[in-house]
Amino acid sequence: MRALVALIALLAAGLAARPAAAQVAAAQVVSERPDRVAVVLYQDHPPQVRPFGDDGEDGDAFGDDPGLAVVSEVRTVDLPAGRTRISFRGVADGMVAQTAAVEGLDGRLVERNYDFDLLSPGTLIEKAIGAPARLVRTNPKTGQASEVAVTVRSGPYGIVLQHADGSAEALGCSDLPERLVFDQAPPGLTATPTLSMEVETQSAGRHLIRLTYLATGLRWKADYVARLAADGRTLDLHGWLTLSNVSGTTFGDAPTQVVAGRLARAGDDEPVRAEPAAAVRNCWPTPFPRMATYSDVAAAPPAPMAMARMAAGGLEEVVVTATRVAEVSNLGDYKLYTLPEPTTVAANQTKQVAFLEQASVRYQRVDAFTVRRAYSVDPGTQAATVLVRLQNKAAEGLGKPLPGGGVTVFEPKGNGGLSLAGQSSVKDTPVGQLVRLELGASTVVTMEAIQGSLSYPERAGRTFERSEVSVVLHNAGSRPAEVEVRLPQADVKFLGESRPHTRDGAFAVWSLKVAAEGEATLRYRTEAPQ
Amino acid sequence: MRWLCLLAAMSVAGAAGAAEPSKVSRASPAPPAPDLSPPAPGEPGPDHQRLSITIYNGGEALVQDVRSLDLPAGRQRIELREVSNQITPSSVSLAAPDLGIVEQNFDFDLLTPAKLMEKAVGKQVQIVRTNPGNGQQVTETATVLAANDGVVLKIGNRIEVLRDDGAPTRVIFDGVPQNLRARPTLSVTVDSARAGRRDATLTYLTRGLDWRADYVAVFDEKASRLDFQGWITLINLTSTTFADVKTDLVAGSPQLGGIPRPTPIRGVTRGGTEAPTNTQQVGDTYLYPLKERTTIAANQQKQVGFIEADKVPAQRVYLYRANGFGSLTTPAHADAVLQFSNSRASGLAAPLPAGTVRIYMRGSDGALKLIGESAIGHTPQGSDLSLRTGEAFDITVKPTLESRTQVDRRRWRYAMSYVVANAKAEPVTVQLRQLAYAPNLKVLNESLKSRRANADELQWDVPVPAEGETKLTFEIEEESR
Repeated sequence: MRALVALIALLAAGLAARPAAAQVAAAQVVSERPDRVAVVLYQDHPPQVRPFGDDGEDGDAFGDDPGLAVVSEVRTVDLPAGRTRISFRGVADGMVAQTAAVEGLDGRLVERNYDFDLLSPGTLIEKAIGAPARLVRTNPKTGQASEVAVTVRSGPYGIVLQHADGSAEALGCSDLPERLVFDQAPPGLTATPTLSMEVETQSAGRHLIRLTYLATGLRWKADYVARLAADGRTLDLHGWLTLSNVSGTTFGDAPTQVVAGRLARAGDDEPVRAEPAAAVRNCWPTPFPRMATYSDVAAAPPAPMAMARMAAGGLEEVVVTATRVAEVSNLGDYKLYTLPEPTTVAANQTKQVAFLEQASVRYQRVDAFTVRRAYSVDPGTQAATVLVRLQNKAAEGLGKPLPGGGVTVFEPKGNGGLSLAGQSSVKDTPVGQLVRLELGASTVVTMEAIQGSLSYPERAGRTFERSEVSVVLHNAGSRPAEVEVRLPQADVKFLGESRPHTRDGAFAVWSLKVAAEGEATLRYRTEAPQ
Repeated sequence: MRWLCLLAAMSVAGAAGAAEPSKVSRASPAPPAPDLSPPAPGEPGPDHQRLSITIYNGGEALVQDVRSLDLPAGRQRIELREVSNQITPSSVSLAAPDLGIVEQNFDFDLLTPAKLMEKAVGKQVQIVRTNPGNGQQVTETATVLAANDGVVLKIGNRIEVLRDDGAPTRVIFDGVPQNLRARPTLSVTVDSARAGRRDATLTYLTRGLDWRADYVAVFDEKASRLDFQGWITLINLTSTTFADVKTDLVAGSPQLGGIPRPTPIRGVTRGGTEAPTNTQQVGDTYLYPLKERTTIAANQQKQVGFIEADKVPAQRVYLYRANGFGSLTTPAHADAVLQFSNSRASGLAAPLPAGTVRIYMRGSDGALKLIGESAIGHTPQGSDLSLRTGEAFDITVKPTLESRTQVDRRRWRYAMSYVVANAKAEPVTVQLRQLAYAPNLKVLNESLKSRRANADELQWDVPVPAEGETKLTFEIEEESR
């Protein structure tokens, strides 16, 4: 049913509503904590290529993305009939307040507010300007406290007080122990940013409501470990969901899901950062450095974001669980992984849960070179790039959606141990697609390109480049090498080649086997417009 | 509203009648100018400050503040308290019957201990020393000679530097200089033609207030429908609370200098042609009045629902845009795009002010799960919207430039192939768009029929079977300029 809630015409001019008439007093209800919490974490996308040899483990492995999660809370609230303001305590500290949604209230939602006017030494002074306060001084020798009524005239960056007779003093500039005392905290200031909703209900009763909101500080990424088997043809692939919570909120025993895929983001999911104000006792200059102790007392605390980053730099704990594997399902056009059981993602914790365990996945290992049509400068001897390729198909032993992430590849050592073959990354890869892992440069297979004849014939007023190149491949290994030589070929005409090429997308590809401790030569003659 | 208590008490300390609504003084000689504070709440009488605010997108707001002033006849200075602390001073105007404005001042000489000492140069202060040995206090009268990187005092016949010995020393000033203030203060010198009470309207612009829209769209994939909710989000980053204020929001930011530049409306593919019946049009923009007077507290973000429509027809399409002729080694994902319109026929009959649309789906557990976000511009009613939610995990496109050949000096031929793969369990259609705007462009051959999507792009609708792929090939000839 369609309901246009509030596109109501202007109040008639002149209907100058009195405050009492316009604002109905609302009852106050505080919802201290959720009964249950469920979280959905969104994927952090790694940089496309991580250079070989970059360990990338220093600091925050996630980069600068503040992360994104949907937090879904079930709460029980008892509401009186009429208008009520419900304050929600115990929400995640990275809450993006404008995304909060409440379901299950059978009343009218009048408005919702997010108040971040925080009670701090600075706001205490700021709101007290013009208000009476008591100045309490303690005689350092006798210990006697004396008290005098004052009015705060200025602050919080340098506090000036005025006495009843009109004379004035600055607070904290005499080096005497002195403090300001107020009878009550100024109204409207809160300890933490608070989300509240004003609702109007017909009848009193208990409501089970669901509060859903976006929060930053939570994210996940995929990490893979591939172990090449000794047979040289299969590998074992393990996938881990690495969950990270850099917020200050612990989600205890929460059903947890993660979404794989790249969402469009509008870029404005930033929690409002309340900045607590310090009260600073700025004084007139004095020759004596002791004054510094006072102004230093209330140094501003670091901003919450900075603290989050500091925390991210040294996550306290890494927890790994692999007893059961997360289940995958579809969420629209994304993949949704449900952790096998409710988990606790604690503040400043990284947790890993397995989502993929595939043994005996067939792969192909090749030493690849990209060559050019013509060389004006001798390129020297080049090392091959080691590629591991596998088809993400059930018939090949895989056939599972692969969320993008880093891949660490191990290979067997002669003595039975494992050795690091390299680190690479995969993009989000659906079933049926090719996975291509670049493991860095080979120290065994090398190549030299030798430029043969090069001419520039002209036809129909246009110049062409005609070139002949010999590629000499060397294998210094004890096993034969599968070598691929790839040439970008969009506008290339082949005039001759020592063996036929195949096409792979934009490349002409020659596949050769180079014997152990052997050599092979490939020749191609091409023509292309200049 | 309780903040008013504090403010009302904010006049000169010790002065009687601090809670008097408004007090006025002669311009000269100038005793401390009393403030024009509103009265404490609950007080009877017509003195209540009547506030209305018009907030624009972009952090600008127009405040209209009607105050009842009891003014004597003649020239006088009025200090206006409780204005926004981010006021734009040059925008202030005060209008009241039989009242002429002589001048307006915006004082920002802030009262700090150091300023207090500077203003005391040449004047007498009381120095109270506490004997650290026995705690006894000795008070002396001193004259401040200078306050330059240290305070030099003359006490009797002695010249001393304040607290040269580090001993605890209080300094008591005679009073607070009149033109030093706790916060920037607006004062107006007026000439009143008569004595008596009248309503004065204070109008000014302020920064620190902003608004936008936040939308929640819950997409039902099976039914191809959206449940749509709109929220007005306004934020008050000033340290001023606007109590019981009538609030209007204007969709659009007025041109504040600079050269206007036409920009496309984000998210909109066809502009609307429906005049809304339930929104006020002001000039070329729409006005969204909040239904009730409300209190916009300092450092508060407030949200009010303004639109709700269920079961809006929406379709999800897959789109891939190629901006040139080239190849990719690793396939790219197609975008998932949600299309709907805010027309009478769709049930979402309203203009949509600029903001963020967050699109959710309901999981099997009933909980909302985000599937994407999109910013939209000010969208007239009856528009077609097309919002990208993200990349479709299971749908990929691998472009290959098969060949590029030069026909003659100016003409080139490009043969392209696009392998569109679908790992989903159901067939899909992917809209493949190729940027192609060169003059005399010709499609020489194509494996599927193309159509022109817009001035810039050719489009092929590529059907892809479940867990399958379709290869689109075409050859285009274009002329370079």
